[in-house]
Amino acid sequence: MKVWPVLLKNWMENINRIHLIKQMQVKFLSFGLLLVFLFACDTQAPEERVKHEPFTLLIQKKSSETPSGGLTTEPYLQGIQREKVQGFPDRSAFFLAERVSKITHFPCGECHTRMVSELKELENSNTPKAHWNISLQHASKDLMNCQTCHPNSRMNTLRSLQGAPIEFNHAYQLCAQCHFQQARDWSGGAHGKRLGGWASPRVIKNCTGCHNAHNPRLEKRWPSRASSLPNFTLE
Amino acid sequence: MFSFLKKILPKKRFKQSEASSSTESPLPKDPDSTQKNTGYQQVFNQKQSRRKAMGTIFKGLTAGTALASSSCSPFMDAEKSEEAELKWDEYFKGHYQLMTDQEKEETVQRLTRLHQLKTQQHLSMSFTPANKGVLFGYAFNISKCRGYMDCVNACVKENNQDRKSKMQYIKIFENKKGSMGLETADSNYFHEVPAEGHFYMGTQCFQCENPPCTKVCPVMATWKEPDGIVVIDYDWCIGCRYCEAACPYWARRFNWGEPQVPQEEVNPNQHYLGNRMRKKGVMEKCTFCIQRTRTGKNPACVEACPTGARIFGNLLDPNSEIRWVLANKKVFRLKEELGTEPKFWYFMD
Repeated sequence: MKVWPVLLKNWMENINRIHLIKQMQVKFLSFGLLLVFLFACDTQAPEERVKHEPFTLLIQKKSSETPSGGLTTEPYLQGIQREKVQGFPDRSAFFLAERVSKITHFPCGECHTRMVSELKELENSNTPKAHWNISLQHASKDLMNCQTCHPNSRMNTLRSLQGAPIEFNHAYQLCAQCHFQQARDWSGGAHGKRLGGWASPRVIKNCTGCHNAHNPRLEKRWPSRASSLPNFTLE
Repeated sequence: MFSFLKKILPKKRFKQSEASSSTESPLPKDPDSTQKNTGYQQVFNQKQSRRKAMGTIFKGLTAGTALASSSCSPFMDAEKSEEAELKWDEYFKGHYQLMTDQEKEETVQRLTRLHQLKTQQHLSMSFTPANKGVLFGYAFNISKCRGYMDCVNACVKENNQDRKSKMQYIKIFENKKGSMGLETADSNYFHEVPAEGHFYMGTQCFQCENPPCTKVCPVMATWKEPDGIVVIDYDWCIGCRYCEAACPYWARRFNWGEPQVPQEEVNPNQHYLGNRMRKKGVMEKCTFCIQRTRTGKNPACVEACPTGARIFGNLLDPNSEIRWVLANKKVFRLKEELGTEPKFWYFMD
């Protein structure tokens, strides 16, 4: 009959022991968790973090001192005489393809010895005719006529709105009087056409290299080919 | 290391082996010396990589079979055996990025010679590396593009693209004005352009700064060069097309058949990583005309564009046109939220 109290005592001790073990376990676990929290902090390498910086900022930072990587467009500009562009002080020096030497009849004064109105009266005679097919499709007739750009007195140069002479090579100065926004884009590189290549020196086409000054709008036309790829959508 | 051998082997024998190992250099110092290397030692006592060893073994095998066949047929073609040898060397060449300049030179020479043997045409292939301080960028003016597609023609010609499957890298989308998404755009238009009330938008490889296509390649056949151009080694590509699936811009093309270019139309000015002739079962893509741009020229599409809608330049040059566009125009990129950082910006006047 004395067995029961002994068993009960053993049982109680056991319970105590289990309790102790459990306490130990909890301590151990919490210590482990603390360690995990301590070492699970952000350990990302600084180089990795840079990746999330906006790309354009990275480009600005890395800007190099050898802008063309030691390359030049000179070999691809042979046969193109160039003229320095004037009037854009905020841009580094750039050039355009010279044109005057390529005009078929220059200087203009060699034919234009008389006023155009007088020459027009001779229309039915047998005198030689030149650029008779030009019809002005540029702005409204109230705004522009031939004399707006070609002064009667000095046919060898163009004329600004204030009457100052402008050389044919610098025709962009004439266009820029009204199309200042396009001229700004052109000086920066967002408008116009580059010759040779991307490396320095920068040589671009003049306004008249692409636009006919008398009919500046580009014509509609058929595409030079049809696409052969399936008509997928980018989504 | 061999100390335990000293204990086991008789002294005399070990000394002999020491003497033989000391003459391992291919040329003995004294030419009259009796201890010359045998042919076996010259070939097999060299440090070799697995790839090189495989190459030597297989080359030996082919040489043997070639010898056997030539001894049987007296009309063995010298050019054919040369071609076979070049092809073997090509097959066992290393990875392009691990090659020395001399090895690159050799593989370029082999490729030009192989092309010459095949078509009697001489190429000038280069392997010009990226120039320092150059990172290429591209801008596309959607107000200027008129959908003429002259760029596509120039690109096909310049890059020797397959004429049979009519491959093209560039795709021009015709969008309704007022809509910005490409879901409703038409890329197969064929009518007088520009159509009333529409604008045009060209896509090609954007040469992402963080390209998803190079990450998925299981054989590292495609990578980003230091000047930002994503290139493919056509000899290393296994044609699994993972990169095609990974690209969110549909910029990569696969050669389902042997690319066919009429011989008189082949552009002989080639680059190893650019427009050299591809083969069946490999990927290809726009490389910003690497063969032109690494010498300072503009890509063929930029040169061909009659409207000046395409602008190309060095992003690291503060005075370049592309930098001016980025600084002064409202620019956007396609699927910017993916974090691929394309180096191809769209802008409008």
